[in-house]
Amino acid sequence: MNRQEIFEKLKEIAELTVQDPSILASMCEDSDLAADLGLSSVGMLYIVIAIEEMFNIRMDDVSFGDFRTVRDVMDYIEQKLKA
Amino acid sequence: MKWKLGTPRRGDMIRVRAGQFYHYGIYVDDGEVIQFGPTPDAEHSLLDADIRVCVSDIHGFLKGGFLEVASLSLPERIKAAKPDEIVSRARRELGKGGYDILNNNCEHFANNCVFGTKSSEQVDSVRSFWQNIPVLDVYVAVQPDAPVVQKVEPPQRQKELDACKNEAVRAQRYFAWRVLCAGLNRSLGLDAGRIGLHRNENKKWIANGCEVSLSHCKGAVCAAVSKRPVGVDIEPLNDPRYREALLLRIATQKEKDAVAALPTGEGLCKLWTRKEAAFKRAGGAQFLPEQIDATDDSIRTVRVHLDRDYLVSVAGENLGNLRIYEVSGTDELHCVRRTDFEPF
Repeated sequence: MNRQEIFEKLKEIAELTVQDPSILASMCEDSDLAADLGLSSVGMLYIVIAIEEMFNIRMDDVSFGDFRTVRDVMDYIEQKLKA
Repeated sequence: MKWKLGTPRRGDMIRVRAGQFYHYGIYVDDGEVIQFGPTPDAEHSLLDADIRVCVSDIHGFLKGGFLEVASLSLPERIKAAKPDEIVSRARRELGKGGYDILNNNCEHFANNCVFGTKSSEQVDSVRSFWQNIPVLDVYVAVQPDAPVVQKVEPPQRQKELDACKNEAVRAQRYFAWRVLCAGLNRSLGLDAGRIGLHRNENKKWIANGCEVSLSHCKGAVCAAVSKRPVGVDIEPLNDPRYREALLLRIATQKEKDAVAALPTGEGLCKLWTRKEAAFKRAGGAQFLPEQIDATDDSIRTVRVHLDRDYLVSVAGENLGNLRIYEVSGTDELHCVRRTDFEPF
């Protein structure tokens, strides 16, 4: 899966978590998870579990504080998929 | 576990609503609740590092919310520790951090104190939500002129490809399989070589934890991936082989009426792909098109333009969740979501 495909899949996950279409429309790699996507810690819970289930990986070596932007999440997923 | 509004007793698991979820703690007395949460001096912090097993009073725990007390069933009461032991366990954890909303949150802490094992119904229910998201993904691709043929998994499929005497057919089936593998990975994070893919007695491909369907026609291939039984068929829209005689042979009057507004060839293409998709979903032994109702609501047909127009029919559940991806590439395949397909 290339980086664009990872982003597209994250966006599909975000569609089910972030209800505001205007937020989704502006989502990019630089988007801040809290400030731009409005994710609270609860929202992060949904996202992390969604990533585990949808990408079939286990995020057991990171904590939520490690992810600040969409790019941080994508870098982690990319690294996990290559392993 | 059930919950009730009421007066807690020493050693009770308690909780209070905190937004979408609940915050949990162990009740000692009104002056002492032991919880895994922000310490009093970092009450508004969002940092995991400021979250510790700490003491607050009942008002600090509730923050104006309603107190709920765990009401254990008989089996739960048998498993639960005695109140003094619960409080001891909680006090032994005072000062500890390592908060992790997935694996070590306040609910994990409270359950560990009461039952000796960490668990979180809240996390489990979120995980269950994502595990049960309907998936109905269809991958379409133009057949390349000369796909690079490499080994595929599982071995049963490789044997079938090796047994193909017609090189063009072999290349088409090989590419269809590669598209399926790309789809399994993209939609469900699955490796085709590790999910027990094999043909059943009716020659339908089945696997562990997913459902698949394959189709190929002149110029294109198509693969469907779902968590529920699915069937897919792809045909070029304006194939000159579609003739009225065939329509008369396979279509009921109801079906003819359903496609009456379409040119014969298009109507037949629609009916044919729908019958094939339905047959593949059902996984029957013999394809008898005249016995399959192509007007059924469990089948959806769309027009997709690749190098030309194709009809793709998908039979399955959750048709409203249908997503279509176009696959391209040679050595490595990439999938791009298409949103420009039209209902047909």
